[in-house]
Amino acid sequence: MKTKLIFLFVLFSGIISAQTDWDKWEADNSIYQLPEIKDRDYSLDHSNFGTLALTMLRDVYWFGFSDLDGDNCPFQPTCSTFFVDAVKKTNIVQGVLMFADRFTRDSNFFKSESRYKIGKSGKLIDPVDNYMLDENKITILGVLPDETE
Amino acid sequence: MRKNPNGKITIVYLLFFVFQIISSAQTIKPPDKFFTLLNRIKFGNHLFCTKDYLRAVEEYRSCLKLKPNDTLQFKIGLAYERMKKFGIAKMYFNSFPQENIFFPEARLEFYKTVFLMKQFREFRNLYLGSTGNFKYFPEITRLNYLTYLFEDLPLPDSSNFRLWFNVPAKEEIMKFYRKKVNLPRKSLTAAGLLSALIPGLGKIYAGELGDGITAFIFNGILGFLAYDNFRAGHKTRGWIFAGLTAIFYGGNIYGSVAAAQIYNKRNKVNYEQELSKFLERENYFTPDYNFCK
Amino acid sequence: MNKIFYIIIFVGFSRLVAQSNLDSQLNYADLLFAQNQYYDAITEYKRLLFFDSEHRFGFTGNYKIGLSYKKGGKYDDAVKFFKLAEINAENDLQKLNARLQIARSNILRGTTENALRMLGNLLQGVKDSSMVKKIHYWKGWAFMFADKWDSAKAEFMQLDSVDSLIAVCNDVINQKYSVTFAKLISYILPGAGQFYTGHYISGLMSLGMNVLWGYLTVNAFLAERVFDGIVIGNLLWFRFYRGNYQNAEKFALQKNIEIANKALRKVQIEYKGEKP
Repeated sequence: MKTKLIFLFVLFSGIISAQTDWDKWEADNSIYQLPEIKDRDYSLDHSNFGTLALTMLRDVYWFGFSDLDGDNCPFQPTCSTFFVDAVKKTNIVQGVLMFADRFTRDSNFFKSESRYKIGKSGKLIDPVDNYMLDENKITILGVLPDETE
Repeated sequence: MRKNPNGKITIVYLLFFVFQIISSAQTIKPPDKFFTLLNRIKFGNHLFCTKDYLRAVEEYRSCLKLKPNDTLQFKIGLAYERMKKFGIAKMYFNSFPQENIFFPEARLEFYKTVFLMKQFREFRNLYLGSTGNFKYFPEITRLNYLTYLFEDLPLPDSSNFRLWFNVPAKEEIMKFYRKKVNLPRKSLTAAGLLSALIPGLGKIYAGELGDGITAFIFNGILGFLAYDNFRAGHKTRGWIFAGLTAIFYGGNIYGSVAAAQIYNKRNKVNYEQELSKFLERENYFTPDYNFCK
Repeated sequence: MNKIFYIIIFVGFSRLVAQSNLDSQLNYADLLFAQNQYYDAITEYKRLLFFDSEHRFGFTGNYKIGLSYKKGGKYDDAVKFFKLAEINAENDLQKLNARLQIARSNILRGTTENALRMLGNLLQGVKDSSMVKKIHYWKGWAFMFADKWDSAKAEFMQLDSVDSLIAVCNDVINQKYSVTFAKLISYILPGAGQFYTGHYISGLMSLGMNVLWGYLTVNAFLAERVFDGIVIGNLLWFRFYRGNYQNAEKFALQKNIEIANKALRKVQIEYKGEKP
């Protein structure tokens, strides 16, 4: 185990050191902070009536239920955010179908963790873009961009 | 004091030296010795070979201001390519001066950067415009064949592949060829139809057993609740459950198609990652130039 | 006579120049470093190392490159070059300084466990009292960055003239909420932990939900609707009860991180003494 770690460290540091200076950099005056636990973003989407109603509905659900009943969702984004984003990115019909599918997958007790990338928070990353029926938008394990939420 | 012209000169010299030393200590200046053309090239080469490419580029550029140098000019482009700044490298190699002795190499690297940027269609168009008397024609032909392994196009005949890849890793590249031909794929239509027939079946077909069973149970329970409520005369509740059944039934068909698509993409991505790793190890069957021997 | 004089001058001068070429290269690199041009400074330190055929600057060059990377927030690279400096160190003091820098880079990188382990090892081999104090000082910083303010305070207590740091540690220790307490009181009375951490609306909502679903559950059982009772109790009451104490815990943690971060900002910006 220890040798493995050392090996990983050497490998990792080798990759890093070769690339750090491939872009010019300046002094870094940032200060160290502990990672914060963020609150949910309750802001409404005013782009049209549909999104406004949708985000309002979501906020009511968050305020009345989701924020009170504990951490139940193994996925990231959560089901409610997934639904809102799905409708925003497609349309109400497709969004509802995507949500129904997501809800089914969420209820599957035997989720295969190898299917999903695990995010920093320990959640399974399951982006909306993977279910828009556009192969170019699908991101697979290991090549996923950083978590968005 | 004896009049001695030599002594006067000595004193002048001494004063001059002392002045020089003092002045150089006051205005901190880098020593000229390390900044001669030859030493800058040496240091630049050292940076290049320790993969400190951006600093090497800076060093080479200062050298080129002093004196033209074909090798350095070529290595600047190579440095950009190795830093994976393909956009810059592509432009750099594309406008490379013809009179430079490395012009054919720069041309090859131009092709290679287009390939590395995964602009495969552009690559094939460029390849069509190339001629057989180009020094690196075999190299770009190989790259041209390799583009097909990354795309959903009918593959060129395997005998052509075999012919051009007369390299030590020939068998491995043929293995990738066969793997591409037999890449496992699930039909999106079949996944959708199967789930329409029996909810969840399409998911199982696409390799998601747990999701399939869950979908089957979901649809079963909701459907039963709808039926049971209608039978018991609870029309409103019956309609609600019927609506929910319809949504989950449709959602499952949709999800089965999506799952099949993800299955295909996963196989494709894994294949391409493996292939890219292999090609990188083989330097894309292009020359290494051995600047750091 | 004159000839000999010239030769002496010439030889002496050329030796002087040979020496000062490297020295003035170092001065030049130091100047760039002093002007905060760390990327360019590294280039010049590398040039110094490259032309230093006798390895006179093996320690200094690598050490300064490490410092430059550290100033740029590139801690992985900094550690790499401090290690090279350590290898090239000519005496124990240089070696110790390089190791301290590695520990300090680890503190800044947030890998405080590494830093603490290294500092612990250093402490075992060092006898000089001023150096021992120095190590305790950096251990204190490592503990602060690790959000362990009690331990940080204990380290600083062994030193003189770090009262302001001790004061900061005390502030954090006093201000922090007890996560266990928040959770415990929410177990007893839903919403209480939320009140304790100042989340009054959430606390009231939690209390309301638990009263409502608890009432309905009990009611169902009293009316002998056992199935309803089990469903409501399991799916709703228990869910909101669990959410209630999870929230109490989350809010306390959230507040504690805010408090710690405020203190971390303070020591990193306002503190006048040496920082990692």
